[in-house]
Amino acid sequence: MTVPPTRAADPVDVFDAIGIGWGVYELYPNPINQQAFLSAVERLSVLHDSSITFEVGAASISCGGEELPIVRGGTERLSLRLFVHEIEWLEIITAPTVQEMKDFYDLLAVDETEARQGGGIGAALEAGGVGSILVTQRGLLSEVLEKPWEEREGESEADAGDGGTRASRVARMIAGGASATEVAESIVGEAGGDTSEIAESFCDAFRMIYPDAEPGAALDDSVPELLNAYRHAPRTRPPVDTFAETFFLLPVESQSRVLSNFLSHREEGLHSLLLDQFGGAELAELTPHLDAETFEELVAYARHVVDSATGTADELLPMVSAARDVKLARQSAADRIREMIEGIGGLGGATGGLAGQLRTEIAATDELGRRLVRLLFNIEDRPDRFTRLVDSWCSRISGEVRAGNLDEAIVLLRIATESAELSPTKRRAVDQGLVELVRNDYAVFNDAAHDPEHREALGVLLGGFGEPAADHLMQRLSVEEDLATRRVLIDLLVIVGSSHPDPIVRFFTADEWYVVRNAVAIAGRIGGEHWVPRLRPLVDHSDHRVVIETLRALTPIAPDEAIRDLVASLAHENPRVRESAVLLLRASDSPAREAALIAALTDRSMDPARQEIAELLHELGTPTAVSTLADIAKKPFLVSATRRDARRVARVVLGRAA
Amino acid sequence: MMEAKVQEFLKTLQAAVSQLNLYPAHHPNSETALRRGWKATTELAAQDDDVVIGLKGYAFFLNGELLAYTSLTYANLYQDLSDREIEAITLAGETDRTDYANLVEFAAGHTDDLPGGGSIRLNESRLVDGDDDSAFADLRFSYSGVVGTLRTLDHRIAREGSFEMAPVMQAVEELIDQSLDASGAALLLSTVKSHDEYTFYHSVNTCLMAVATGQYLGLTQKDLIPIGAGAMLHDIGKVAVSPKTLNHPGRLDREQWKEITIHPQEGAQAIMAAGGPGHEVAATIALEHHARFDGLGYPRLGPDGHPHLASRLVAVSDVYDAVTTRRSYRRAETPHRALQILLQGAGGAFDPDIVRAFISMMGIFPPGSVLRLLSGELVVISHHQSDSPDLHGFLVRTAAGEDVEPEPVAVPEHQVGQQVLAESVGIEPAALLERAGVAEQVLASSLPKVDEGAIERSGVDEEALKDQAARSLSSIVDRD
Repeated sequence: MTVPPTRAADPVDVFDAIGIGWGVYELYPNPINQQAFLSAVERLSVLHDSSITFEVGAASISCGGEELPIVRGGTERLSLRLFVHEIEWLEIITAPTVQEMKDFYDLLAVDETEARQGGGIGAALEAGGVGSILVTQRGLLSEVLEKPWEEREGESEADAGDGGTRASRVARMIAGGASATEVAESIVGEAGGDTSEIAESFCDAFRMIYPDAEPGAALDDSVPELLNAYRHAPRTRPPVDTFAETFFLLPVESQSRVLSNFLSHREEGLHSLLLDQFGGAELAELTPHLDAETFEELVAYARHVVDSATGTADELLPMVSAARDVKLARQSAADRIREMIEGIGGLGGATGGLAGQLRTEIAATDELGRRLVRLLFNIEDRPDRFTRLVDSWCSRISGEVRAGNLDEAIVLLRIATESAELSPTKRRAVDQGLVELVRNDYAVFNDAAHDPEHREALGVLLGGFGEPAADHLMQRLSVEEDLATRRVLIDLLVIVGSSHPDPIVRFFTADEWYVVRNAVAIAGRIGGEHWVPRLRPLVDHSDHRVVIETLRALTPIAPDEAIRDLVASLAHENPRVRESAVLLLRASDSPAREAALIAALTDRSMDPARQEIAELLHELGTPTAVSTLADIAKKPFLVSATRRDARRVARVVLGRAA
Repeated sequence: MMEAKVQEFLKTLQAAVSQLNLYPAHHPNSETALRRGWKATTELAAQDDDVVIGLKGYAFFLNGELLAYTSLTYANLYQDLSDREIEAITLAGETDRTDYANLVEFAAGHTDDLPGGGSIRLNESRLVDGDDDSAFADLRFSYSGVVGTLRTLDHRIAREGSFEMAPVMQAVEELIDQSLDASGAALLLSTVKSHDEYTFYHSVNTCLMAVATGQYLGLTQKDLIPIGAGAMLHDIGKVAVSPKTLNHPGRLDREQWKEITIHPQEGAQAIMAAGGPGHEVAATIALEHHARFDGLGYPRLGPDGHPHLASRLVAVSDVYDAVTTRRSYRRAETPHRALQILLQGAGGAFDPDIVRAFISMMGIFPPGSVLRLLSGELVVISHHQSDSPDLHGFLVRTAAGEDVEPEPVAVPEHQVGQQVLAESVGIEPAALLERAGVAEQVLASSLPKVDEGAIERSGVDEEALKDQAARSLSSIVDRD
């Protein structure tokens, strides 16, 4: 097959308009009331004196050998829908009307199997009088259905083998799968255009196919066989559909006679089956052609359908809505569904294992909770909701700590704190949430801190809280008056500060001596040489309590370096400092102690502490210390007053020892 | 027609009682509610005879006739009226507005003076012969209870931004208790539709079907409770979406769409904040019920993200109920069309194993399907019988279009002419359960057993199915 020539209209624009129309159709129950739909059809008016042909591929639409760019969701879905229907060519031969486009989309919306079984979209377009659109479908079924019905009937088991009456021939056509167009042509042709005979053939054929329609009516012998064949031919659609569509292809006068006939028998047998196929709007169109009696029958029928004792035709008919609503649902549903059910057998594994898998996954609530939090942290972008999420997450962490599940709390914490995907804004919200958590639930962490088993894990957890949390604890400590609470806070800060020292260092310069002292105490308990350069300046702090705490902190951290400060502190103006220095020097086992004390013994700046230095050297008792004292004690003549003083204290110490 | 008027009467009465509990009697809101209620009462009372609305055994009766849907829909009001010891409301002729106001005041507990002698009289006439003692009453009551719980929950979240999980779990547990023993009836009951309170009813239906699927797969009650809770709460985040957007009849603009797509995470967070046992599963389901099996949908779960199996299970029931319900922006589809949509989405939007299990359980014609036989009669499919290949249901309308007392039938599949929309032919499938004899028969049925051999490969083009699903599904179900 060759592509018909394409002229004038821009194919991209035309297909885009068709795609927009499809998009609107998909969304709205009544697309023709939508401006977007009307505009889309209006755009197709460029085709009023030209035609255009599209070639439909698996994931492409071409025109004149050029593949079209598909830029909208609607065109993409339309191209796929065309492909699903196995449409090979779509030809718009002139500007379609709004109704024609709607009809075309109606057909596209039909299940593809159903459409093919109904003779294909092309045949349906023709039958529906849509002259502006032509389609060519691939596939064996449509080829078969393109044959004249007589040929098909010849292949059918339903062939009665004789001509029969006019009505029985119509019935056989329908049972054999003829299209509505073919049936209508046959009825009209055989009746020679006589509207009365046309109606009669139609009604008789219906009663033959549906014998219950007129109990006791004489049947053509071939009809039961036909009917039986129909019922066992899964690909043949219900004849009532063909009758309904044929009805609208008959002359209006014949339609009104058929309607009159069926309305007058509507309570008998299956006459209502045909009537139920018509929507109120369709019936309303016929009302000008009905005589008064039939009109009254129609109104009575409408009252019955909508269950209303009153109402005019204008009020009632719009409420009659059986046929079009169920258009998609026609056809033997069982066959289609079964086919698809069988098809899905290949899509997945056995269902038997699902229960076990479900049970396992549901039971893993911790994992599920973590996954949920992780997903939400990534998905949620609204600041207020993210804050709420952080609150909820913090509550979970707190709950886990309270329950003693510190490892789980750490895992939960890391979902956010170690996520590389969090924006700076989200990260700030997380930090703030952790500060709030520490602020509100510090007692919970304190309880955990006092359980030796949890201490290490708590360190990891609180360390993970980050610097803002440590900062908050320090601030809290600085204003806390209750001693017990201060101890709790210090305990927590010892843990947090090991990974976040800066907030503690910041408090070394606080105005209040006790704040500085607490910070120094925390640093001392945390330990580590990195603290030494930060602590040493505090040896010169104006408050003696800070100095003492600093000496205490420094001594275990850097024993050798601290010796110098301890010895120097022996001469501090405050006796408490001096006492502390003595005690700390006594307790020290640093090898530097001896040399420092020996040097200090004759250092002029250490005059006030000479006695203590000598005492300490004596207590040290090392050969060098003892000989140093002895040497200076033996000196007969010394020029320096400092050395003379040293000789004095050495003699006192040695003499006392002797 | 009368039942509709009674529903309007009860709906407006419920609204008036609520308003009176929130605002003073002369507040414009109260006055509006009273005016509407009085109007509905007047319309109901416009009969030749007195109208008696009876209350007994968790059911409403109109002049002695059981009101199936009304009982289901207004269980909360029933409870309120029962608490006030109201057993019958008689509307005697033209209704006086003051009498109506007195009724509302009494029902709201603002006064203990029982109105009597006027145009509205309480407990004067019974006309109720017996309780709704149908075997199905317990399940119906549980259903109503869950709807009531959701209603309360919705108000509470809207007002306070949070809710408690315990009542939800209790309601779900009760519903599951009832439905496990009556799975066939539960599936039929899940066809109940409400257009006014779509989300609540949709949630309970989704819950019933998800639980039935789980039960079909072999899960125990303990496993089913968190799944049921998730199914029930899956749309709870819609409280954050404006009703205008939810019911917008046309295409959504960018902002509206954004608003809609936020509801899963909104719901998940609300459930997370509520906490309690099983909340992880429930929140996960709420978060992921629009996330597709193939990783698309919303919210996006990340490059390697797939919805949790429980979410995949609920998603199938969710879509089935949504598709079969009329919405302001699209028509309802028949059950078989819904199954087609699920099948088309298998492997794309939906977990194929779950779809397979769901359809195996529901059958080709799910409970609630309305079928027109080739011979013209209308039959409602009520349940399946694993020992019979025929379709089991009740004949409700003759070929001549005459409604009849439901009559049990077993229909061979080849006699099915077409499937029709229940609402288009004025049939409410779940109402069948209230008919004598129907409930017993449906309750006696059970879910079929999983038969791995029943569904075999047939060579249908899987890729074509998936393609179709990927392209056509979103416009159908993403908004629900």
